[in-house]
Amino acid sequence: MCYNKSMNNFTPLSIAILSMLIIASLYLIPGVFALFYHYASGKYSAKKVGDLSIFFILGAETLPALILIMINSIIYALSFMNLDLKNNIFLWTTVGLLFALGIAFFCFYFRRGNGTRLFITRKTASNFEKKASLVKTNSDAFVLGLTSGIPELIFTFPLYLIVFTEITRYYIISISCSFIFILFIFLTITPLFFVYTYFKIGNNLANYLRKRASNKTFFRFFVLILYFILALLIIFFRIIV
Amino acid sequence: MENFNEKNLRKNLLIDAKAIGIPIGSATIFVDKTLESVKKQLKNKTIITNKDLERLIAKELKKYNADFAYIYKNRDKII
Repeated sequence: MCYNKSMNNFTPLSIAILSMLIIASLYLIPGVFALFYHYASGKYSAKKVGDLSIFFILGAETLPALILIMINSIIYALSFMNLDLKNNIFLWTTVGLLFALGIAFFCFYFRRGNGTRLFITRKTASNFEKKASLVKTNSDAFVLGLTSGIPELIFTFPLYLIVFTEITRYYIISISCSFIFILFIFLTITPLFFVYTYFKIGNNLANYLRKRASNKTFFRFFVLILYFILALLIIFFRIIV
Repeated sequence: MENFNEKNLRKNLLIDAKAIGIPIGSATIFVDKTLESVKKQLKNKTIITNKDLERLIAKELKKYNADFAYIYKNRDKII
């Protein structure tokens, strides 16, 4: 296979985009958002629902930002111990983890049965449902948005790590680096805008649930394949080449 | 074991109805008729499981609005 050196700049970007695509396509945050939107629109005026939704989305956006800052601190601390996250041992570990996560996702992300019950404990799920139904103020909505992505970190944290290492690998000029990080943080929450628009154009929670449930099998295969492609990209571009 | 709280159930059903766009007048009629019918069916029972009660309510709601019943039945299967 012919490998052109000019591809160097696009490889980290494509790996990072693929990682963010996986994060963006997960079901938990849009699910909590849909529940929250449903309850809020049953209680409040359209204007208040819009305000609360903005704060929910801001909260959901804050989580990836905080994680990337945390990863930055961890890598900074590791650099004092002369540990480099770009060495082969780390890369092979990442590849193994991606294959394992892909298979785990395929097998365990959804619980058996009808609907789209996720892998999270039932207590956590009912807590989210309860919190979504009790949102009153903007700060409630913000906190709900911020916390709704936490249970999924088991599937997403390695992806954030990949995004961070890939972006900082080539985009070392601080302004362009920050811009790309902001772009990626925005990318992870785009599904919330889709869900918001979906409700705004007249659909209700029942339609959304039916759609989610009917796409469940396709989605499992889709994310499994994305995890595998990501692992193969890392093997090819980061280990072999 | 918990006591059946009709007031709370009625309030939650009306919230669901408003959220899916059923006008408030129609929603009140649907909910009242549903609860009335459920109470009739439970006349001889002193105890019932949550699941059975949910099934009964969803069955009654389905007569008036399929989406309403679907949401009531599947609310715990979203996440």
